[in-house]
Amino acid sequence: MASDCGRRVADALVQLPRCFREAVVLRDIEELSYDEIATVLGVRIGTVRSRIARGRDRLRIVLEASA
Amino acid sequence: MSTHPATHLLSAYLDRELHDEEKQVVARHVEECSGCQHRLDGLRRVIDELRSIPAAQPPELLTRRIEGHLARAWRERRVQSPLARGQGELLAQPGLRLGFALVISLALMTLIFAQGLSRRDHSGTTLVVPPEATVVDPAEGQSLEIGGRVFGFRTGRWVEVGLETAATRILVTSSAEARQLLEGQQWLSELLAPGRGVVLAWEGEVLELVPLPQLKKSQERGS
Repeated sequence: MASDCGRRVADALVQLPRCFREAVVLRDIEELSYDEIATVLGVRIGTVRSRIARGRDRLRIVLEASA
Repeated sequence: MSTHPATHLLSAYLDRELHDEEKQVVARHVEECSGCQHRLDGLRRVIDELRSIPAAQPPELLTRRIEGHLARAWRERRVQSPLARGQGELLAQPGLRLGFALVISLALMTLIFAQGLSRRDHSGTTLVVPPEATVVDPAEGQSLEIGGRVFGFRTGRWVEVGLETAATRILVTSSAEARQLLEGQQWLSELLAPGRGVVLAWEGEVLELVPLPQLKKSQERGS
């Protein structure tokens, strides 16, 4: 069920380090562009790109392990 | 075949956030590499699941408070006053709009996480203490004096010396703005589960609320 998926990923999301969680939430839930995320967080776009990727990759590992 | 692209390149490729040259390199590689196609599928599944998180509506009071807080922050920074343009245009300012999005989204995340708690302990009160009290890993016997209130860490629990009511947890805020947001927001304090946190931020400034381990009434109090 969609709500179960949402619940599962929300539980995984809260376990992420703060810097990764911020970037992933802003990109995949708020759907901001990398430019906008860089403005909000006060970091460079390269940092945004890296944080989003690392956050997603950690979520992927957690979700695959719990599947 | 070219070398496998780094994860951040694949991730940005999905977001259409690569420069043209990078995009062409990644696209060419992925077309002929089943391993990287599999990596892309894994990232797509994560994104799909994140988008399936149910939306929650923040209380109107919180929305109004955040708008007011952002407006005050704007004025204090001596930038052109957004209030002069009317409240409806306030969130049209890029910095404020993005900040508002972050604050609301993270508040909503807190709501979502809290809804999943099967049981909450309402037997005590929440203590909100100022930023100078940030103690992530307290030592046994450690004491803190904060704003005239004294807290002690005893047998793995925080107790407020002289407090008659049992305390369930202490929230430590890392900024005055975050504390200001929390004032009068008892519902938000109650939603913060032990060991979980919420981050509020705007315009590059991060305001962090860190809930410390849940407290129970200490049997040693007064001994």
